Order: sequence, then C-alpha cells, then structure tokens
Amino acid sequence: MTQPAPRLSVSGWIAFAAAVGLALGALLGWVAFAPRHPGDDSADAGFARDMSEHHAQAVEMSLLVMQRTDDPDVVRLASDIATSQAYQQGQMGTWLVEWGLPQARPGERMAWMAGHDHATMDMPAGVPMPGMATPAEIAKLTSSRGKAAEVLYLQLMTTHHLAGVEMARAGLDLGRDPQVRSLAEKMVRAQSGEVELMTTMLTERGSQPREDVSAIMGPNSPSASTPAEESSSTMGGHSRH
Amino acid sequence: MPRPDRSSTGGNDQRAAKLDQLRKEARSADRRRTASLWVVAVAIVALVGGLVTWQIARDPAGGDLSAVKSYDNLGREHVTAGKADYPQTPAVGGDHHPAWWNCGIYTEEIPEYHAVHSLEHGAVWLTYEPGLPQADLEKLQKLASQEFMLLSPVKGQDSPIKATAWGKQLSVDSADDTRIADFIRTYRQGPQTPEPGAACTGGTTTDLAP
Repeated sequence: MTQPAPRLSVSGWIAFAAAVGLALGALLGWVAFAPRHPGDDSADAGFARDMSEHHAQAVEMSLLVMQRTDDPDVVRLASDIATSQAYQQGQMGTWLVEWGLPQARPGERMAWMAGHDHATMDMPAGVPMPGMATPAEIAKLTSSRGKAAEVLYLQLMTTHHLAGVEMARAGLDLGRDPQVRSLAEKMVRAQSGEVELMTTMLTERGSQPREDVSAIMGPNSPSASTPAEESSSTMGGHSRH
Repeated sequence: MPRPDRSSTGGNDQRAAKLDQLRKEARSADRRRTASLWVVAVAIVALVGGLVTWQIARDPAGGDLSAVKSYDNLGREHVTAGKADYPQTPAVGGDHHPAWWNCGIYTEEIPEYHAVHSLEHGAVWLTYEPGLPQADLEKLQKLASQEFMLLSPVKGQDSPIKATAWGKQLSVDSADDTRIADFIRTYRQGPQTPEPGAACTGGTTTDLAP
C-alpha cells in the first residue's frame, strides 16, 4: 500500500480557511452592498446634479416669459420647455435617490466632465455653469414685456440650450447608466431642434441669436440630419411638428 | 508469484498493525474534526468582517450628524396676515408666507416666514450671528454657492453659525466645521423635504407680509 498523500497541517487549514473566508466575505459583501448604481463621483451622478441645476433656470425663464407675453408661439415653446425640463429634473432627482446619493455634489460643478473634449463657451462672472443667464439678465427678463421679453427669452434660451446640448453630449460620452445615456440623447435631440426653432422665431422678430449657431452646432447636428426621428421621441420632443 | 509482504508474517503482528492503523485513523479523524471547526469559525469571522467593511464603506454622505436636532409636527399652512411666531431661532419650519424667499446669498436679515417656505421646498439655510469675521463669512459663502441654499445673518441666534433644513438644525461654532458640508449633503433637497421638486427661484426677495 502506498503512503497517503501528505495532508495540510491544522494551521495550514486555518490559514486556507481565513483566505477563503475573506474572499467569500468580500464577495458576499459586494453582492449585498456594492453599488450596483453609479457612485458619488460618477459622470452619471455629476450629470444628474449639474443638468438639474441647468434645467431649473430654463424652467424659471420659461415661466417668466409666459407671464410677460401673449404670443401663442412663444407661450407654446415656453410651456414645452418648462414642462419637459421640470419632468426631467424629477427623473434626475429620482435617480440620485434610487442610487442612494445626495442631491448635493461632493465637489465642484462639472468635475465629472473632465474627460470630455467639449467646446468652450463664455462664462460671465457670477454664472455657475456655461449657457446660464446672469442675475442681471434674469432681472431684465423680469422687467421686460411683450416683444422685448420674447426676443430676450429666445436669445437667452438659445444660449442656454447650446450649452445644455454640450453638457448632454458629455453625459452621452461619459455616462455609463443606460437611463442616463438615453435621457442625455433625448436632450441633445430636443434642445438642438429647439435651437433651430428659436433661430427662426428670432428672425421672424427681426432679431437673431447672440451666437453663431451653425458654427457651434455644426452641420451634422442630430436635428439637422434626422428630423423625422424627433417626433417619435417620447420625452422632450418639441411642438414644432 | 507470492508477494513478499504477505508471505510469512504472523497473525499477531498483523492484528497489532491493524489496531495501530485504526488508532491512527481515529486520531486523524479527530484532528480533521477540530480543524474543520476552526475552518468554519475562521470563515464565518472573515465573512462577517467582509460584510461589515462593505456596510461601513457604502454610506456616501458620511459625517457625524448626531448633533442635529430634529423637530416634528411642524405647521404647513400658508399665512399672510400677521407674522408667524417661531419657537426656534432661526425657524426650522411651521406655517409660512405663500411666497418663498429666493435662494441665494444675503447680507441683510431675511424674513423668516418667507425663508421657512424655502425650507419646505428643500433649501438649506445657513445663518450666522452678525459680526462674523470676514474670512469665516467667505467660507460660508463658498458653501452656499450652490442651488437651494440660503445664507443670511440672524440676530440673537444662540450659536455663531447654524445650518437649518425643514425640521433639522445644526449649531456649530466655526465655519471650518466639516459637519456644515455634511449637513448640506444630507438635507439639501433631502428626504425630509416636504415639497421636493418645488423651485427656490421665482418667489420673492421683498418682504410681502403686511
């Protein structure tokens, strides 16, 4: 009869058990508690927080202009922006709740966009994020009436949307969560389309956007290349059609 | 061909060898049982350790907010006549004016019955005793430079700096206290907010009470 195979000593077994137990504990802990959701520093969470703040001002300006003009086209556009962006704010806030994350950021605004190669936009002092109106501009919109309010709103909202599209592109570029990427894509399409609409509306009012829109959006903007798909978008689609 | 190990050994020798073999097996079975008990025990300890580590590591807001005072059963009515009287300074909630105070940074006192409405919408209100050193004020201004934040002086509050959300209040002595940021992370539009999603713009920056 041959000798039995050499066995592990007791201490050997204990060391082995400790290693297996630790690995198992870490695995189980991961299964039980690991963030199956985007983390606090993720692009997804950064997008949700920053886009919420950005949207809030679009809603604010839209509500302001609706009280300052009776023009049906402007009121319809403002109503579209206010309702869809307020809804999207709710979506983004709910994601953060589901992910177990605070609505308040852990650090600076737009830190999550570091890896995104984005077009630079002017950001006046006192403005938290690109495209947002200054307090003076909000005050001017508040005190304007009629056509003056319409033109100022369309210009401010065009600036707002151009930066909004850029941030949404960053969300699409850097976001990992499918819900985030899907909403970011809808924002790019809806806001690009609205920029075109607002350019036309400004022309009708003898004015124009403050930016060179086609230079910023490029000839291949989603709305320019695939206008038909926009009407099938369930969220944030505009009422141009 | 006869095998050499079985050829000529006596019966006694064979029995002794067998007995010895049985004893050895019993001893090693004993050892195995002890070892497997240890194995199970260590594995359980390691498992629990792993779980606890994860549990501790997963809370993103963090910070020790045990000093935060909580207040329940706060009024939610809109009152325009007269000025609501609040038991805390500054108010942590209760009946308030229909117009909320626009979020932002203020260097003058703001009316509580307007500010309380902002708390209802999810704002965090940082307040300080007038005369706070400029360097400390700048730290508070930096903390308040985000949406849904109010910053203003309040005469007669019983602590140099306070952070207030609906039903929640933290008193601190220094603008360097990291619990201010923890408070903001936990309660700004936090789960205690009675009206989440309501705006902190488009309200008033003028005292509208009669």
